Amino acid sequence: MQQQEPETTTLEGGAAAVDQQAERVSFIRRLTRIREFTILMVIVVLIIVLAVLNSTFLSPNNIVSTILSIVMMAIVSVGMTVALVSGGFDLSVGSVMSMSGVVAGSLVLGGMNVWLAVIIGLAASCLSGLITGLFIGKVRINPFIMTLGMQGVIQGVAYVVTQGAPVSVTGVSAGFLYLGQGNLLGIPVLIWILAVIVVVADYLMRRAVVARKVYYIGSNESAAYLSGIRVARAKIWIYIFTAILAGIAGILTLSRFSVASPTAGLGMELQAIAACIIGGASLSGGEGTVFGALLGSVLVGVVDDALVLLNVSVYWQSLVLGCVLIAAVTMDVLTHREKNS
Amino acid sequence: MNSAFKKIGLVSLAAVSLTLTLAGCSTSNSSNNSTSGNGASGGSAAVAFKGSANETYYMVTFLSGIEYWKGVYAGMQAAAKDLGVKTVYTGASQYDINQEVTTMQQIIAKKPAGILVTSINAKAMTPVINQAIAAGIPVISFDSDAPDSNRYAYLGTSNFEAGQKAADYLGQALNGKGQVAVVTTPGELNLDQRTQGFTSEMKAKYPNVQVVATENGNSDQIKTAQVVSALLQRYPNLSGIFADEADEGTGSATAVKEDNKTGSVKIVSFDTDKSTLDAIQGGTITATIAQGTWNMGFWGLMDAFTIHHDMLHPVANWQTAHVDPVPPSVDTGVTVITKSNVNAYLQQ
Amino acid sequence: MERAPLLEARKIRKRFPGTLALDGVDLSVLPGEIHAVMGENGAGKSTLLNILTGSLSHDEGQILVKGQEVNFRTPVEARANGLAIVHQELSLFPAVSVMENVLVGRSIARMGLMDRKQMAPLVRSYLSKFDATFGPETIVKNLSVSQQQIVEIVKALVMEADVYIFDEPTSALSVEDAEKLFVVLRQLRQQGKGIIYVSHKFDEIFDLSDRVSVLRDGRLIGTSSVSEVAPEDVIKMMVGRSLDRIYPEKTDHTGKKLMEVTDLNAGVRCHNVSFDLYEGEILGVFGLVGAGRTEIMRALAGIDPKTGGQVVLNGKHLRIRSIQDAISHGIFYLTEDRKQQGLYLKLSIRDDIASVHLEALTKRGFFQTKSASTIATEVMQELRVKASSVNQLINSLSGGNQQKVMIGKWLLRKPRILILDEPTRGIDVGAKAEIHQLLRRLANEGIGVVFISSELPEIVGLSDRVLVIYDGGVAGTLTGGDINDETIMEYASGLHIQELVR
Repeated sequence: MQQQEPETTTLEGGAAAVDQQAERVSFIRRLTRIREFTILMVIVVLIIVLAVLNSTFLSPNNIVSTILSIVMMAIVSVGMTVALVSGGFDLSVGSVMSMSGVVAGSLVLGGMNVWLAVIIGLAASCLSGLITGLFIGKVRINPFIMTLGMQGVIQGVAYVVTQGAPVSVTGVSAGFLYLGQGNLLGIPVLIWILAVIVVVADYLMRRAVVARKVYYIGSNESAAYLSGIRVARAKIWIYIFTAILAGIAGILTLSRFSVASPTAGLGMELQAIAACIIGGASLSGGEGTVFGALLGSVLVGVVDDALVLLNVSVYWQSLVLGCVLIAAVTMDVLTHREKNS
Repeated sequence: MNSAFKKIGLVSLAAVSLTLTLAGCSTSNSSNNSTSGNGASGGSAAVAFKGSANETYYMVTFLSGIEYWKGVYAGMQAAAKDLGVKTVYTGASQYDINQEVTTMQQIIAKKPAGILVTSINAKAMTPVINQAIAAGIPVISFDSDAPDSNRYAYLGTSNFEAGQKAADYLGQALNGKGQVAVVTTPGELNLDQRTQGFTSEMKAKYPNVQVVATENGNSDQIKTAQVVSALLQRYPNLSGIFADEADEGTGSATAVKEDNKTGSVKIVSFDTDKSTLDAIQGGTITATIAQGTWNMGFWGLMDAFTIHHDMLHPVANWQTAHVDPVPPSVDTGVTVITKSNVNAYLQQ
Repeated sequence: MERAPLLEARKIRKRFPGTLALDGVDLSVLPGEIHAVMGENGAGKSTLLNILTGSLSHDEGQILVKGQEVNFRTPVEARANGLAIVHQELSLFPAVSVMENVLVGRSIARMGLMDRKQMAPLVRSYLSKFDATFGPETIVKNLSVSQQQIVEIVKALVMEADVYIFDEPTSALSVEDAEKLFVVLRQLRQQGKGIIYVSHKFDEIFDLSDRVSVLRDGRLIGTSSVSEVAPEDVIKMMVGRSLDRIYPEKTDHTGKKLMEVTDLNAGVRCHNVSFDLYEGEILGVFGLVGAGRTEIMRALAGIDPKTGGQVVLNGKHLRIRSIQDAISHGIFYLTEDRKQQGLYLKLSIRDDIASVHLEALTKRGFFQTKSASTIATEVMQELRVKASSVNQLINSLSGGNQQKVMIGKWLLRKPRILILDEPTRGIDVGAKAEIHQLLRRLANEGIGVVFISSELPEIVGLSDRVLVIYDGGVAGTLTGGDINDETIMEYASGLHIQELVR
């Protein structure tokens, strides 16, 4: 498990022990200051409680299906994390997800080679991200308004392409369906894909110079600008990245269901933002990790699964889910309060 | 000889003028007959069931982009072709009450020959439907009714009976024994009615079939897949699922497939979009309940047309006598589609 | 021997709509020189610095780097030409590590990935010049303001520039950290670098610099070697008038005991603190950074929770459990961080002042704009706040005027005890003197005045008595002849431990 660097430094040759302000903190204390650790603990506690209440919970089948259920949300959250860290966010990801699926699906139905159709679907997502990024980065339109507008535009594109009907692609190449429906070593390929995306993105966000700039921009945009960072250009790439990941989620949804619905991604943007925030991202930018977003998604998935396994009535389900989310974030904020005295 | 010629000339002149006059009368008569005015015209048409090119009927829907209404509109267009009139498809693109009411008002201003409408919310749409009728526009309701309004007729599916039919099919397919679950979107009236029909029929006719759970699929494939996966864990012996909405059917099929239970869990879905039909052909969905959407559109337009052309006389003055001019409530019925008859629907 | 200047500005002219900010200013920095620039706020120092470092463009004049004319269009270009600046305002990335902040825009990377193994020791080597107690991987938001200022300085040092420009670098630094900075500056000078040093602190300037230039109203009044000029002359050049005394006269008699604090306890930085305050006196509070002066006063004013202690005001025992309690008794604490905690930067002067006076300015739930404007105008006149109108936004005022607004608004509520934390930090000489006069006047009127300052001359010059804090406790209370630099520093360094009140 990758952790964020500890926020205080231990003994370094010769220099004084620890930061004056931080006083002498124990290892445990420092560990709990890492947001991801707290959420992980919440998840572990939940899992233990649920396993006791219902033994099916820990069965391999159930674990796999629970993770499978959050794959799309998690992939979109990876992109959303980058947008959030930069101090913005992207409300259009749900529509982009729907659009990429229906564009690729419609092209396949029209006889195009499926992989070419996939590339075009991703290219369309890219284009959406480029437009979004240009307006936010160069024209400096507020991300809320811009991505809300794009959400409408792209959703419209999805409707127009499909004339409102879901696109069914039975009979498409098995190689493509393998992505969404195949298994590798007993684990669905979708989960492998998610793992690769998360590991690579998390590593890059922590270490790649290009990615670190996102943190600088989100922390203090004017300082970033003054230190020579091309903020406008960076933002364009940020929103392209967010859109591509949403596009990937859309393509994978097409593969998993063999159906592309123009409303496949409806509401996905809010779920993704919630997962990222639970995982430690801040709406004001400069903070957040990909791993945290994954944990946030897993938390939501575990709770959703529990609600069904424990036979919670459908009318209570959204109430319960909402309470659990509030509790998770509150507990986390409280354990961090002393840091900001 | 002069007087004879004069006589023949006069008679010829009279004959010619009479012929011409008669010809003129009859052409003006037939032209009167072929162009019917707007609003209920007095006098019967010379040829029945013949409309005019600028007679326009509107269909007003909500979530206007979805595929479901296309079936209804196809029926309406077929009737329009036979009748020789124009139709326009419109509606609120979102699930938005205000949007649909506003659209209705805009249509009323265009003074159409008639309106076929499906109401997003009965209470909200009643005033504007009445407004149209007061303006002399016949309004026919379909699929989602506004029962307290003055609409002349409602054509739609009895959702309750549709649910019952699904239960009958599934109960028989399971030989009267087993565990089933329902996936629906609680709070949507149509779907709630289908669920109620299903569960009550199961209880009454197939007591050994247990409805073990009712889950919320949110009309979304991904969400449905998640709840069904969890259901399959919770109830390993689950042998049937009733999904009362199309996307929920697709989601259920995928979840069942991912759990390698295709075939051992029978799925009954709803409506006839291509993905569902393909799935039936491919065997991942067992059956679907098709609504009589084409008929809603066809007979809906017929009703509006006949009212508009004042062709109906059940009693002398039905307007003042408060007698329904057309059958006020028509159940357009459902059909169970399985592999055996799916090809007929696929060809459309 | 004539050395060629590293940086030279000739006849720089800069216009803004309505004003001539710089009117033909000359400035040069020689290699191996520390060149101080002084001037009141509004004299044009910031504008000049911004032009030199590429943030602003000049309308007329030339800038030469090592004899070559240059025209910087961005700060990046200035940096590329060997100019580094440390601004007065911090501009760091809070959620990111120290080393990433220091090396922003110049991070060491291998194949696009940050090379921590090389970055950390490099940054640590600079941090060690300040004996920093934090490491390169520390996240900046966990550092104190003083430590963050060090990070800003290191950010400039790491550029290994030819010319360094420091704008009020010690305003947030403790005395020892400032000393360490001076060591670094002297090293840089020895290495032949050129340093431009903007400050209000005479002792630093005269101790450190070789030459001093004075700006006033956008013009260069004069440049001279530090050895050839006295502080009074410099002040005259800066304000165009002579100030006989920098500090108002101290009082020689004090009245009855106003407040008595006994055994105040609030965590590590405040234990068993006891002191008295008399009518008519100004009590200065001094201590090294981290000694706990702010913590003690915040606990006294109900802002931070206290675990024990009594406060008696005018003979009456007070119960202070919250800020509201303290305010209701007339005890006001004015923060050292006026931008973040003391003022509403995006509001107008009128609205900011009105914010502490809302009950009086609300009629039936509605805000009385006219009355608020009247009150604000009175405050502005009383304290001589330089602004175009009460509608001017707080963030467009100079530091000194902002401070005056902050003090002024609290004066409206008729304080009995005013606790001011670093009231003249980052403020020009003229405004400083005005605030000192104001404090003296308030004390004379019977308000208890307590002020915390890190500037020894200010403590020595203004206080009637000095409370020295060391390590969360009172090291000593000094009066009369004991109020001098050395004695105060001795107590503040904990050298008179046996006399420590614990």
